Amino acid sequence: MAAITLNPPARRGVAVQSRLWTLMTLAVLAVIALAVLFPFVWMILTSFKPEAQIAQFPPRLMPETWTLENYQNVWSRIPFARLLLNSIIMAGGVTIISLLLDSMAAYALSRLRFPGRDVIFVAILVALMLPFQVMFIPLFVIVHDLGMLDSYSGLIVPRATNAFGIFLLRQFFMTLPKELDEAARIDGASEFAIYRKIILPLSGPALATLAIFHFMYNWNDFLWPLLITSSPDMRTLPAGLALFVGQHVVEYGVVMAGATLTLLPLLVAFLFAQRYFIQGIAMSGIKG
Amino acid sequence: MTGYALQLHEVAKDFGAARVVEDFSLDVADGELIVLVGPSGCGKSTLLRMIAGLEDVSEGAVVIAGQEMNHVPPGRRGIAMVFQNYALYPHMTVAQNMGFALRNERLPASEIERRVDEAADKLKIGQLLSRKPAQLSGGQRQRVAIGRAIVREPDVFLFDEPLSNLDAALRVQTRVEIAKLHADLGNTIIYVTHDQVEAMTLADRIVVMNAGRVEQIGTPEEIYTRPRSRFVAAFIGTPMMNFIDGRVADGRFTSGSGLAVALPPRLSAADGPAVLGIRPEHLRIAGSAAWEPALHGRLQVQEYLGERMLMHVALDHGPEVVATGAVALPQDETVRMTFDHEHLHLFDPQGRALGAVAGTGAC
Ligand SMILES: Nc1ncnc2c1ncn2[C@@H]1O[C@H](COP(=O)(O)OP(=O)(O)OP(=O)(O)O)[C@@H](O)[C@H]1O
Ligand SMILES: [Mg+2]
Repeated sequence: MAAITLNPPARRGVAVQSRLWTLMTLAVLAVIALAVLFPFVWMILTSFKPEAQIAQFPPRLMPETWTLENYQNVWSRIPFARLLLNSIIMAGGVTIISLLLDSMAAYALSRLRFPGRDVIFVAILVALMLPFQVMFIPLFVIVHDLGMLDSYSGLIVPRATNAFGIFLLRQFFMTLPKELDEAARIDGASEFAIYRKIILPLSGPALATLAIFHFMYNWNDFLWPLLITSSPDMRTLPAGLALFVGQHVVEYGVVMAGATLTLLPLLVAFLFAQRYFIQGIAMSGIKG
Repeated sequence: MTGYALQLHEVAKDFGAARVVEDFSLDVADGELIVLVGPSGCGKSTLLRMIAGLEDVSEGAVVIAGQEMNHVPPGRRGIAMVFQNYALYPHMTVAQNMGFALRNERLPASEIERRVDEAADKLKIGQLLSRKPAQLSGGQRQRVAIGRAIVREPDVFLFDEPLSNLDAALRVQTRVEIAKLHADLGNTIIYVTHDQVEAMTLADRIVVMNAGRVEQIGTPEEIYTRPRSRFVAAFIGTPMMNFIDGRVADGRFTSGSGLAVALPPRLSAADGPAVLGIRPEHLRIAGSAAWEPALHGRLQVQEYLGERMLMHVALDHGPEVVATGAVALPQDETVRMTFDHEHLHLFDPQGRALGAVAGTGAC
């Protein structure tokens, strides 16, 4: 190895070296991919195990006997269809509304000149750094005072815009040439028309990326729906699965089956949007 | 109606503490083609953007077709602008690009189509109407950008260095087309360029700008033959006018190193330190001795340009100058250069032109 790198290698040496390098890269990536995938595989396999095999020691990856009992349990013991609907309403609602509001705020921050603009932008950056755990108690109090507990508006409104989304879109909008809006302005376009007909159509990849981020985050979110909803009929899927986590017993099989079902729609959505998603990440210069 | 398509009254622009355009006044007649030239950063684009309404004016007034426009949004000023990088909307087809302004005016679809087709015919881009900008060559994009301006039938066209992204051949071709279009449509055009040939060939009048101010306004011929300042004399014309520092006394110009030139009557009234100017094409390598006034020097470099030769000559008593010759000469040859008195320019130390050049009594 050292000899290869120290002496200027012949052309064949370069080829061998670069193939070696590729192999090593692939090996490292494979290990990382396995580490990421393993919990999912474990979850899916566990969902097919009878309760007795789940807690057995030493643990085994493959079920000895396969069963659908857990899935039947999920279906019969919680209002699964209703929870699915709630999840779609929350994640979908938040995604649509926040794309709208995020992009409008980002437009203002990247395109309009008004006093205090930079201060507002810094404030948004600061909000970006606040963890949700710091905010959820005051947020809960506000939602309570507004009488929005245990309702869709309580699930959606606090998420209707978000610092990360504004930041991401603002950065993307900044990369769109100013001459385009100026040309549109000369062409008689109103401020809203510039936003709607020039900026938004050119931001497809960034909007798709953000849509997936928003949807995934809210689809998977556990703490907020659990806090804000009390009746089983208002829960989202992750919060609903918590019903199987008792104080003393955790019904792992049922939880794993529920989690697997929760994951499926996301997986499908991701596969559909993957092309945009990757393009968007590349264009907005953020790392996944 | 005032008869003026565009008037600028003492317009000024500040960016923070920096004043980038100062006391700028200009009256543009209907159908006139005005070319703004000046060094980079002198405020040409800023001025154009103020006319368009993309920048506010800090002082003064912008009047278009007799109406004060200081607070009128760009879309209602009756102007159209062609940007240097074209600024075509990438997600729209050529037809949609050209029709965008008309859609904003909520014209009926049939009318939009008619006007887009008409403009496309004029610019010979009819076959491109359904393409996106990314599928066009630079020259085609340029035409689409011009087409987008034409369909609006504006009072004033604004061009900001529209040809600078094209290669040399296409530049010449498009320049000629713009001239034809202007002759054809008779629109008022304000045209910004770095390119002297564009300025000289296109302009009805040229405005030479320097550091945010008007240096001189005049026809190409006036600007060329009667520059009002050393700046204009140096900026217009390639190769640059020759300048020789010295002083004037008793109707003679002398430089410190012993050069002496008798001045024509129109310049001889001057007195004191001065700069003598003469363009390379007016300084001719002369063969045999004659009675004309002459300068002497030694040939340094000669450049063959086809129809003529540029001779770089070190004067016996003065700096190196550029002269024009007809035939190649041996290196280091001692040469004699003749010139006409009427082509001499004289500037005071502040750069103002002294006396008038040939023919007119302009200041
Ligand atoms: N938005 C702005 N903020 C601050 N200064 C600016 C702004 N726009 C332009 N300037 C300054 O104003 C001056 C004139 O700029 P302008 O773009 O009008 O020059 P120009 O003559 O068009 O130059 P060029 O030939 O290079 O295009 C420059 O010094 C520039 O730095
Ligand atoms: Mg410019």
